[in-house]
Amino acid sequence: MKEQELNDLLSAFNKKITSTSDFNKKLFGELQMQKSALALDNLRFWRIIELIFAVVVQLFLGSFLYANRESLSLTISAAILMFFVILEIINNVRQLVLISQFDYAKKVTENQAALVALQTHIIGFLRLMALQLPFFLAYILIGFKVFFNVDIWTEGNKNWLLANLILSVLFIPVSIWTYRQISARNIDKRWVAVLIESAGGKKVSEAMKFLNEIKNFKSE
Amino acid sequence: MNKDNSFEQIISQHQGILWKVANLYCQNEEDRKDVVQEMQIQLWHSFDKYDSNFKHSTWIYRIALNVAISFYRKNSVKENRTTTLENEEIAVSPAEISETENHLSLLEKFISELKELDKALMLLYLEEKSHSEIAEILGISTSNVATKINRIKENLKRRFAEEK
Repeated sequence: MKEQELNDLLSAFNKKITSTSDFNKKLFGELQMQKSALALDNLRFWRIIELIFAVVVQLFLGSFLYANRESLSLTISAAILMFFVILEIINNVRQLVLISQFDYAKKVTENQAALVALQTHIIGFLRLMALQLPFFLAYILIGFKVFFNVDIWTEGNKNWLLANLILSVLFIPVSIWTYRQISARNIDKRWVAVLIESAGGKKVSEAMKFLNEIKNFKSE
Repeated sequence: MNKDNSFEQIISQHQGILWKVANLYCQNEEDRKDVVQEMQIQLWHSFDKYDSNFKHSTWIYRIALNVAISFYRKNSVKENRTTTLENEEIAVSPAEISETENHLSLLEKFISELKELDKALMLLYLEEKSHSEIAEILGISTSNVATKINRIKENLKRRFAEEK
């Protein structure tokens, strides 16, 4: 096909999609009352729920730490988990700020990337979980204390504790590797897609693919 | 002039933009009406923050395209990508379809299969917007606009050649 032929066809297509309907002037008066179908209320709702849950967990860990301040192992365990919960709280607050500042008048690629970032919040959570892998012993120590009132660090089998400590160290490179792998650029890797879809559903992986499309679109 | 009046005046002048964007992204009439209404809502909410450094059309295109793409993605209408615009005028028997009409129908199909952002780019190109304005609306470099338009047009030509 020649350039001119294509241009003529594009011009005909342009005419075809150019149509207007009667403008509903009454609508203007009602616009303030209209509810947006694209409203970010759903995202806002879930971020608030997560924030409340994280604050409750943080309060629990704080009181746990205070009650067990005599035990160094339990204090350190609670402090480690509190650190990760604080990161989650910060992440949630940042998301809520982004939602409140969301603006459809931004450049298309910027706006769509911001929307995808909000929709793929679960990725941040998964990456945070990956970083916690070497600290799994902290969960075990707190779990034993909460459910069985046993300080497993002082009362547990020393070989078992040593094996867990070695495992924790071995988990460090695994944790860092996993943290780096969980990102939009790796969404085509099957295990990453399965992990993300099992945590956030197909919509999240679709959103991440769209993020890659935006990046490709912006690059020359 | 109060907010209502100035808003009404601006939108009335540019209402064609909203319908054009809706026509490009939505396959059925109901979706088109919904998306245009959504555009109006977002335009209204954004009106107070309108930056007078930009043309009205730039502001409207940004919001219209952002809303249409978001709406399109939210409703997961990708399965309809290969369908063409509803138009009874071209719904004639194959024997009656001229080569031009056939090509136009194919062009609609190819454009409907473009990625969301490429569609936006083509729409602005068809509107004869300058490369700098297209770049400003989409958020890409001016040189990238030219590169991408050429790439899409070459791709369209290749698709037509494959159909022959």
